[in-house]
Amino acid sequence: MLNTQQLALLMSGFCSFTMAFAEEFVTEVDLFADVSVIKTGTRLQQPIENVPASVTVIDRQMIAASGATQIPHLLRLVPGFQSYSVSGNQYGVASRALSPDFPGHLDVMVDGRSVYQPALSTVIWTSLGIAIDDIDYIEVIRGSNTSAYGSNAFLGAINIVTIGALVSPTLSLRALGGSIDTQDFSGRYAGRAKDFSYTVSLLSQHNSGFGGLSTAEDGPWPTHTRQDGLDTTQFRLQGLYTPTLSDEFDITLGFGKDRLQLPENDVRGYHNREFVSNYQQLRWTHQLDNGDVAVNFYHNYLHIEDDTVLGRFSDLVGVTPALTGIPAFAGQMDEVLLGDIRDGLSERYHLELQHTFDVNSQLRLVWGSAFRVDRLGSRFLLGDEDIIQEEQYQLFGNAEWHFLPRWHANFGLMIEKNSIVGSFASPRIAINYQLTPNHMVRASATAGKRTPSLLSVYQNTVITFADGTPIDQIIGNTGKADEEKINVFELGYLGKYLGGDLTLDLKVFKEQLRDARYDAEQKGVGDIDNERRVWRNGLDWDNQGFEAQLRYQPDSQWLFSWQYAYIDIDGFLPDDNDPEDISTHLPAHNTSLLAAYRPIPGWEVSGVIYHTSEQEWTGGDEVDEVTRLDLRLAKTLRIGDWHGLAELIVHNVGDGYRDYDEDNRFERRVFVRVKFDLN
Amino acid sequence: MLKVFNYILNCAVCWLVLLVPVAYAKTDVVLLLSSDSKPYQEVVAGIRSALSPKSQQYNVTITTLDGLQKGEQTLPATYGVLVTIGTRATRYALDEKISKTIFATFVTRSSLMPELSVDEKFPGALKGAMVLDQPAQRIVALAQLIKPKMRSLGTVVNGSSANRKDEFSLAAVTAGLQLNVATLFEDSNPIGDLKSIFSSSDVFIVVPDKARFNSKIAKWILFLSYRHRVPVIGYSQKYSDAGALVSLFSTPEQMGRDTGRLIREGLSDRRRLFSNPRVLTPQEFTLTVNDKVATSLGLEIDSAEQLKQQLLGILQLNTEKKSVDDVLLPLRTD
Repeated sequence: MLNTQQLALLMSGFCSFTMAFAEEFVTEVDLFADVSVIKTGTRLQQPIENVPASVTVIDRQMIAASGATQIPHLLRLVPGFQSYSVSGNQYGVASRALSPDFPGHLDVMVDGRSVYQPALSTVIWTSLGIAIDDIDYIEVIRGSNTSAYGSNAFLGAINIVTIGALVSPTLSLRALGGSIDTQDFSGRYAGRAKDFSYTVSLLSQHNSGFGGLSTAEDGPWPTHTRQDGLDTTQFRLQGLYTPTLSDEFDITLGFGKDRLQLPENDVRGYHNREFVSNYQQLRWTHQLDNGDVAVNFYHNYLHIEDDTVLGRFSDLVGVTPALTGIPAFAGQMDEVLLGDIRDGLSERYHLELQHTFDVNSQLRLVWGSAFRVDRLGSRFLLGDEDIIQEEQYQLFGNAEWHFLPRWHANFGLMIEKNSIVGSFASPRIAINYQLTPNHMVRASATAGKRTPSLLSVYQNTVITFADGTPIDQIIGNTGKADEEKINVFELGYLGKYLGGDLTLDLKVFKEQLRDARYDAEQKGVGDIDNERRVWRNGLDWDNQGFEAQLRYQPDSQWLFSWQYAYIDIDGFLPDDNDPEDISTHLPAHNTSLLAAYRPIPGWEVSGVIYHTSEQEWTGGDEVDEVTRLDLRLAKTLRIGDWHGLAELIVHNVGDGYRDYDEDNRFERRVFVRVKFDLN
Repeated sequence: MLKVFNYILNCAVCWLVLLVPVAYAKTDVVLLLSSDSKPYQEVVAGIRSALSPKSQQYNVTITTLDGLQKGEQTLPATYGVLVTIGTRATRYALDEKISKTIFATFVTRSSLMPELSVDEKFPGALKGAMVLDQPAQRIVALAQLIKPKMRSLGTVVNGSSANRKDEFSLAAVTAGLQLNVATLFEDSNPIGDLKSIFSSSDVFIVVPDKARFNSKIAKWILFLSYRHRVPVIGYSQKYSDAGALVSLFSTPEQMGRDTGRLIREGLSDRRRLFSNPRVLTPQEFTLTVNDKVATSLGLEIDSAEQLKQQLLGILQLNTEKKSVDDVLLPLRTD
């Protein structure tokens, strides 16, 4: 597959050149214009050596060689990133942050559309609406990127770029089957109607998660049945319209329905959670004589339905039904209590205008403004039927200044305003120095801020009787919220060796996170157990560490990609009585090595070995170090005009390991995947 | 008396013999750079290396356009030739009439169109020009190398590159190929027009135009190349990095070396070179191959160096050899 992360626009930016001409003839400047490749770092199209942050690009070749069957698994190939299974099909992705069930400090985008869900303060990875085969490449900014993308990019930004309508084969069919009852099917049709190019995609996934395994309570691996499977169906339409040389319209529509089984705490039971989603995106890019303007509008809608049944009141409070006449609840029936999110709503509207241009031959600018509306509704989460609506404004700018030969400076600033914390600014400055054409060093400083998640500000979860009488306050808020803060200092190196066949990316960093939101225990609230948890600011911790990334591709037969991260975390989870040391909440060492080899035309063998040192997952359990080996054997096929690929994939060749939770035992999984394309 | 006359004559001849080389050694070549940035400096380095054989030393004076315009630098009173490097310097030298012997390099043919007469000669002070444009014959020969069974070529042009349409048509016909060409305008639907070219062509050639046009269509060209499995021949290293199967171009240093050799020949035999002022194409060139693109297109392609040697072999057999002889340059393999 074409390395299409390199197919970014040939943009202006004759950084090392003279000024452009107004004449109508071609000059030498036109022939030597820069090709730019990275955009997520600053919103400017930049060669990777000029980007003010560490960047990992996972391209089609790595995606295929990894043998990954779920999108979040790919992010294990990013130094310092953790991808984990909260349950069979509920995934979490975190970077240098604590690892709760719902991690929310990364901005995740699909083609520039943020897929962060305000209702759950996280990303629902099963509801992205795309299959792994729809991905062209993934661009990851490793580190705070608030100066470019705002609060959500507090600890990094991920942009998943899908295969466009022009590149897609006319018809693509995919099937994946194997362990844990996996039955995935996807199809994509690419067509053209007059001047409109489009793809229509359908995706269906089914698996039983960690089903069939169970709790460790009764022994090493007892036999209680556990159900945490998935059924999902997603539809997506992607279109491209180019009415003139200078105008490009990209349109995306999608909807889907997921049904996840989520295990109860004692893993013997489960409940169903259903997500019904739809989204729409329209991007218009107009190229000017100098630069371009772009408008990006999107809308995400997610409806959440959960059928959790807490049980009878008498069961919950530990009394017999005859004794339900507890004074505080006199007159109440011993009714079945319902819990969790019923009729929940998570919605986002986003409108953004962006202008990119060259001030002169040395200075490029991008600036813009965005208006965003987040809506959140859930009686269970918020305590009433009201819809919370939050309006946010963003004003941003990034400048790339080539102030001396070999020197690049990047200045970024994001100003955000909302009713929760008012106005605040997140600046960044970075200096890149080109030691030689193949070696670059970088120093950067970022002062990022983040608006607390809507849920952490407004959550007020109370178990009630059907008539609304409160029984137990679960989690609430203090009515006060401040912005979370991060200061980051980085030193980086980027080198090319062996004629560019080998690239090496090194980084040392120090991060200070202050006033992060966390939920603390609160006593004396006067409910049935006289306690609840409450969201507040005040969690501080420091990270310092080292990251390395090496890619070596000596020829078209071999590919190696090595990733490593070391982190030292220092902080305590505040508690009036017993502050909890969180230094073990991240693994000290995290590494992966991917290798792929094509011994003869049509065949490929590949594998990835992952190693993570022991850690105590914030929302899960303490687990030992994990070493996992995935292997893949692939053979190309040809049937008439159809080009195919058959793959045998083995995840975790060795013994089972615990993923996040001691009940999540990841045993060896074997899959067969078959793909066919008709051009 | 006769002895005295002979003595004076001999002395005069001796002085003349001594003085003329000294005068040339003072300043043989003046280089006028459009900018002092890296590509122009690389052209200078190439010119210097070609002008510095052990047998003869040439004196080179370097000036920049900014320095000249600001009055910080001046041209020497006498010199052999003014070599303008880049479009801005060339334009300035011609417009301001600062020299009667100008040789332009590191420019495009398009930028020289106002200076060219109908018979492709330069009637004024411009005594020749080395352009960045690769000869169409060379590009067509490369296309046949990477896809030997090809039958048709495709390309698109815009206002500034339209003048090369005839050149490519002739080269294609000479090679027995069909050329599919479309002219794109601002209100054209680029994908619609490109798609029809790609669907009927075996190889696509990118003809460079203004940077804005190049950037507007590059993404579509590279996407459609992948979609239709049609290899693209680009015009710069960056184009092949971005997704063209191969790129054919001359680096600034190669342009400089070719220019230096021409200047050297011109200074030693002014009548032959400078009396026939015209557009010259670089003999040194570079090929870059994107192996990943070759794999994705299902093509087995030789290395860049092997391709170049094969191309040089072909070029020696066709009409390009004639033009090489014309400009007094031997074919080089480095």
